[in-house]
Formats: sequence, structure tokens, C-alpha cells
Amino acid sequence: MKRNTFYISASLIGILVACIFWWAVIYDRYPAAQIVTISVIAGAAAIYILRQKIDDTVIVDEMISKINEKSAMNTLQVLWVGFLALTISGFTMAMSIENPRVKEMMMRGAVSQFIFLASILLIYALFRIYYSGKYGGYEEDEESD
Amino acid sequence: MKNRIKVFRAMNDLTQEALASEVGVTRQTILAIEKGKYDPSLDLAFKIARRFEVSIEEIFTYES
Repeated sequence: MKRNTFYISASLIGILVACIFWWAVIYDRYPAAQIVTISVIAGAAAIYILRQKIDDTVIVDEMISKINEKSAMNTLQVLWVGFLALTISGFTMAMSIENPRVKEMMMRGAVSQFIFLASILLIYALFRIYYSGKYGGYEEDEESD
Repeated sequence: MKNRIKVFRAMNDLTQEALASEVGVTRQTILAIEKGKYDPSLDLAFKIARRFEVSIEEIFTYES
């Protein structure tokens, strides 16, 4: 199997699992939760098996790592900005609602999203510190102050 | 960065797949390097040069 075929197959499995999850939320009774659990495990197993069937003997090399790194970074940036826009619109909508109960609910939702966004930044900063240390970003020599 | 990997492969009668396997990368990486789309790490550049038993400068040429 070619690498791109694997990525397409893995995406389709992901969409299928998401659809099952969506169905379970709507169905909301036995055995929805059990089916979701089984589908998630089966999906992960299927992706693992498909990964073994990739033709390349080397699964990850430096170019693939670089592609993954750039894709992950761009995904993070796009998602973060998109989610921030959603959070801000949530705040704005909550401010304009007059019903205090609904307003409080929406404000709580927006605050939770904001905390989530801040957590992503915190995790990113922690990873940056870790990798800077690992790759000698804090090393000192005779030219350091 | 320009390179002469294709020339050295032809001289050594080596396919992209075989070279990739010997230096521990995928064929796509060798293809991307040959086409000048990807600059290899120093580590990989040394491995490729060593495989052909020449210096790095004979294979890779830096262009600013």
C-alpha cells in the first residue's frame, strides 16, 4: 500500500468513527455507548494494521518528519486562530443575550474555550522549553554574557 | 542546493530505491533531493557521499 493511500484510508476510518459517535449522541440509549467504544478500538486497530502494510521499508525518515512537523505546526496555528474566533464570537453572543440563565451558560462555555486555548499555548511553551534544552538551545560558551 | 546524485547513481548502476534503502530513507526522499525540492541534513548528505565514496562537495553544490 502506498503512503498516501494509507493517509486517505486512515482519514476515512476517522470520519466513520466520528459518524458513529454522532449517531450515538443522537440515539442516546443502550447500546450506543458500547458501540462507540468498540468502534474507537476497532478504528485504532485498523489504522495500526494499515500502517504495517505501507510498502516503504523506512516508515519515517527526515523528510517525512519535516513534512509532519510543518503540517502539525500549520494545523495548530489554523485551529488555534479558528477556535479563538469562535471563542470571541461566543463571548459577543453571550453579552447580547438577555436571559440570565442562557447568558451564564454561554459565558461558561466561552470561558472554557478560552482556558482550552490558553492551555494549548502553555503546552506549546513547555514543549519549546523541553526541546530547546534537548537540542542545546540554553548551552553557554565563552561568547555568552 | 544543486546535486549530482542522479549522475552518481547512474555511474554506480543504482536505483533510487536501492540508494534509499542503503542510506536509510524512503525513495520519495531521494527523489525530492534529486529534484532539488528538499535539502538533506548533514547526516544524510554524509551518508550519500560515503555510499559513493566521494566527498560531499563532489555531490552537493551550495548556491546562495
